[in-house]
Amino acid sequence: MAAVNGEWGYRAMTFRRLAVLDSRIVYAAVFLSILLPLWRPLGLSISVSQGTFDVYEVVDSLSQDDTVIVSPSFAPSSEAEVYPQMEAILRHLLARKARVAFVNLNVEGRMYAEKAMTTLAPEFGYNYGEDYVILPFTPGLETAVASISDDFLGTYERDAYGTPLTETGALAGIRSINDFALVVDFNTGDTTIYYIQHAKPRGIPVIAGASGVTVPYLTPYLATGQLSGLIGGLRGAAEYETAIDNPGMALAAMDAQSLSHASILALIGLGNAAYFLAKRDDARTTRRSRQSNGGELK
Amino acid sequence: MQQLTQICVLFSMLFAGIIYTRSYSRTGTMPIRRLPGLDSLDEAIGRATEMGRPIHFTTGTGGLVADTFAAFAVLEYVAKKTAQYGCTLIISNAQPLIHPITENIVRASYYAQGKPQSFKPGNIRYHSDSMQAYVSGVWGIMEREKVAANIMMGYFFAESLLLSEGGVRSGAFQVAGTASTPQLPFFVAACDRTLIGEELFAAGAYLTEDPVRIGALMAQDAAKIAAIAIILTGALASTVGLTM
Amino acid sequence: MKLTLASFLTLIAGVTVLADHFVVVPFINKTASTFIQWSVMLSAFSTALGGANILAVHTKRMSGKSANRGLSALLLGSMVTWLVIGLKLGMESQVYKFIWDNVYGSLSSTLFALNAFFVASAAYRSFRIRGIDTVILLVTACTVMLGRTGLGEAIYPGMPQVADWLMRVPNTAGMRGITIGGALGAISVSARVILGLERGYGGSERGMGVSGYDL
Repeated sequence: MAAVNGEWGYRAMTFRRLAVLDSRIVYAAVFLSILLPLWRPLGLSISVSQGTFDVYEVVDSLSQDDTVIVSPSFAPSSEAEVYPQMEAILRHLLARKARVAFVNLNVEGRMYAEKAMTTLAPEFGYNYGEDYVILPFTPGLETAVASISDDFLGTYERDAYGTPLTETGALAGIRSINDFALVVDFNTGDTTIYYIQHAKPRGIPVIAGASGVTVPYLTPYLATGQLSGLIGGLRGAAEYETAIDNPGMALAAMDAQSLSHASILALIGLGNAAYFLAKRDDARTTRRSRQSNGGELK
Repeated sequence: MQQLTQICVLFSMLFAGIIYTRSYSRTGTMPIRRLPGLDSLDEAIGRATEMGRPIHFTTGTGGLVADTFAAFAVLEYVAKKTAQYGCTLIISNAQPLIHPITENIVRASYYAQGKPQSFKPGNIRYHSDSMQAYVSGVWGIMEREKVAANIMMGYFFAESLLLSEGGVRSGAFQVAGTASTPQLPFFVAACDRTLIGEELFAAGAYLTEDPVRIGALMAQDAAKIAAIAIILTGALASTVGLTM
Repeated sequence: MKLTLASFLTLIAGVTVLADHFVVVPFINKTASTFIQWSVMLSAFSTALGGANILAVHTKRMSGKSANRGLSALLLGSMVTWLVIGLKLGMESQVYKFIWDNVYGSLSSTLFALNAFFVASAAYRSFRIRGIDTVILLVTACTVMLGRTGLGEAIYPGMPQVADWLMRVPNTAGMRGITIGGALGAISVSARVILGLERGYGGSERGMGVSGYDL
């Protein structure tokens, strides 16, 4: 009987070990699931969701008389997810010939604006100053948005390169935030909420591109109409690339995301199986010990 | 109409606050439901004291917002307890504006406990407002100084999971609290105890039993009932086709 | 005196900015606008305050006998180099952009990418089926995860719609509840700060404790 108990105890111990698997094994599984599709793409197709289509419609309704605020409020940490969204939407904005003002709520914003426009401006025939302008970094996050919404020209007298805004054709007709047709915020945090709180009440529609983790947080503002559109995560970027018929980096990375999600689900399944088996074997071991001790548990 | 609703909610809350604070001052009683997250602070401090290892406290990368003010009440409690038990308290700051405030709170708490000599300004550390640099700094503290407990209260962004997994790796007992809804799932998954949303704002009242804070908590409940009533009325009106 | 003056300034600034949101009175609107612009400047100045703090702490550590003084030297060296390049050559210089793309950007992305591994590790530990509620949680999480990928669509074409519905309806309901509760708490704390009732953050002049309560 002791041998049987030992065998059951050993099995329970193995399952228990599996239930608290070494983190490094989990990391390795996730790493491989990201790496493999980049080496051998699966080629899974993506359909465009209604949410992404709503954003597409808002952007598509703009004309060359419209000036739009684009706010790259993300950092290098979420660049992989949010930058493809920004590039896809900018591509669409530039195709509509809308003028663009980049508002930078964090230091990195200006770098992303420059990076995107270095590629896109020559492609769409955009000239700096005439068709788009990059504004300097404005610290303070919510207070910065409040300041911009309250007194746009008071907040910005010059662009990021020191040129007075009065000399930039892109902002020729702009006196206050009310003169903008749209705010597009690319965020990983609260910046969209700040635009909803301060710019939206002045009648400016706000749309957002957000990292996957921020989507549940912003979704409630869609139903109320405070947010006119939202694209979320890498999938949102891939959908937008599909919508504008310009496959880019997001579509290419979607396979890696698919497989990594699948690997996490498989790990959750494995963890649960191990947890159940360990629990079952523990119960058996306890029962057998009780039987061998004449009903008393030792 | 929207602004009118806002004004109504704001003023009803303020009046309820005044009325409740007065009634509380007269009766002196107000039952607050048990909040395991706050009860576990004592467990965390006790654990660290028994192990002879430090406690780490941080308010996240969020600025000087309401969550951070609520976190200051928790910090004050933790600082007083650590001063009382002679346990080391290390604070990591990501915002330069918050750094002098946390230093002020800890200094005052140590003085209040009659332990000014135990206060070490070097244990209150500013890292960077860049999330990555801040997280790296906190990881360094957790690994090098072998913290026994990690308390994270305030407004957090994507650093929530990075910090809490760092705490798991160093074997720290972890208590977190935030009203930042995108970060709550990470804290719930990785920490031992989590204060969800408004529970963080109740911390001051729960820990200190300060009449003003308890009165405000009661006002908060009254405003919540008012909010529910407004939501239900709005939903009903919208269902029958009435619009404002 | 110090605290009384601080509370008075807090009250004036808080009430003015709050009133600006509700009323159209040119004097109030203009003053609030000035206050907001001042706070933008204060935020900018606090960055310098942070830099000064780092300099003070790590210079002291370097001159002491700390085992980590090498790390402090490395930190200060990187900070000063980055600052000099930014000020001398400007953000548009090739050197600045090179360091940005190849050092700062890469390090930040790498650190953030660790989240993917940590999510997997945390999910492995915590997603255990212990009852009906955890079953619901697990099924919902799996559906949303699969619905956000091409794989989910390949398994069942309606998966993205189901995931969208879960995000729009049950998620929104829960989020609104937490957000409303949190916002009311935030209003309560902010009102106490504006009215000078929450002075814990200001410390105490006489060192008699912060809020004046005893354990």
